[in-house]
Amino acid sequence: MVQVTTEALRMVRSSLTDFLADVEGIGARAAQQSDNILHACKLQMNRAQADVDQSEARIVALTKEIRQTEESIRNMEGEIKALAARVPGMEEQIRSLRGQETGLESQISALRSSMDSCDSPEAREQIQDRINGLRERVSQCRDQQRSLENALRNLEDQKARLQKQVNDARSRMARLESDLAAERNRCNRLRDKLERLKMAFGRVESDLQDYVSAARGFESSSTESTHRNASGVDLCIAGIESYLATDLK
Amino acid sequence: MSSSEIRKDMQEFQAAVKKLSGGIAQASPLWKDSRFADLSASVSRVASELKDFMVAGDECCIAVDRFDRIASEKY
Repeated sequence: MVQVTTEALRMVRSSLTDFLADVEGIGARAAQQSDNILHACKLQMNRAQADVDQSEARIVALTKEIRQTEESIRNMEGEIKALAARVPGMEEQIRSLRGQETGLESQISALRSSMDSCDSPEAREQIQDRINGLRERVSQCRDQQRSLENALRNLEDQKARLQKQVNDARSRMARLESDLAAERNRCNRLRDKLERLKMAFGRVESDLQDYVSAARGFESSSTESTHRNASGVDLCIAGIESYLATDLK
Repeated sequence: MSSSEIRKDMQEFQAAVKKLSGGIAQASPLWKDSRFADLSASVSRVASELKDFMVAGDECCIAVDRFDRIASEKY
């Protein structure tokens, strides 16, 4: 027995039509979303790779700078050692010159004494000449001492400057080594992040394929059954309208 | 990039199926014969097929969210 109204059939027809409009294109939308997401994922992975590359480059640069600093320290310490090796010789020369000066002063003193007890003007003149000669040699001794003492002071200044540079370089090296350790740690974390991203991307790719497939499948089967039902409802409406239009006289 | 667009679509299509079921149910007082039962069963199958779509969508969102979390890590 048939128990339905055209009003009911039209309500159903309307619901079915609305549903068709609502699900139309679900498969295409899912595919587009999939493309967008995959593209965004690849950008993220490229960024992660660039971070790893940049970190590795920084490690290379820091390692190089550490090696250069080490070499610089070695060179400066070598220079300090060479300068220090010259000091004893110079000090010995200064002592020797002081000794010579003392000896010459003694000779001058002895000649003065002999001049005091000398009556002859010619002899006194000769003694004076000798004293003058000795004084000249004393003066030369003193000049050489001064020159050596200046050179020694300059050498010590140079040593001190180099030592300061060595200390600064050592401080810089400590900082560089600390930075290198931190960067190596960071690099390991970035590499780990990249590997996990790659694995996660594999899962995203696979799940997106399943999602798009499910969307297309749902759109296809629900659209087909809805069209079928809508056509059936149309036939029912047409049948009732034909029945109502029949003239029974 | 996030899973929000997928979640939005899933909610929309779930609402569409719910709307269809609701629309069909509204005709029930005016449609008493066995054909209505056939139609209702057909709509129920659509609702059931939606579940596969929803499950696939959920799995997808979980995977995308996980990727996003890893991508946002800062070192």
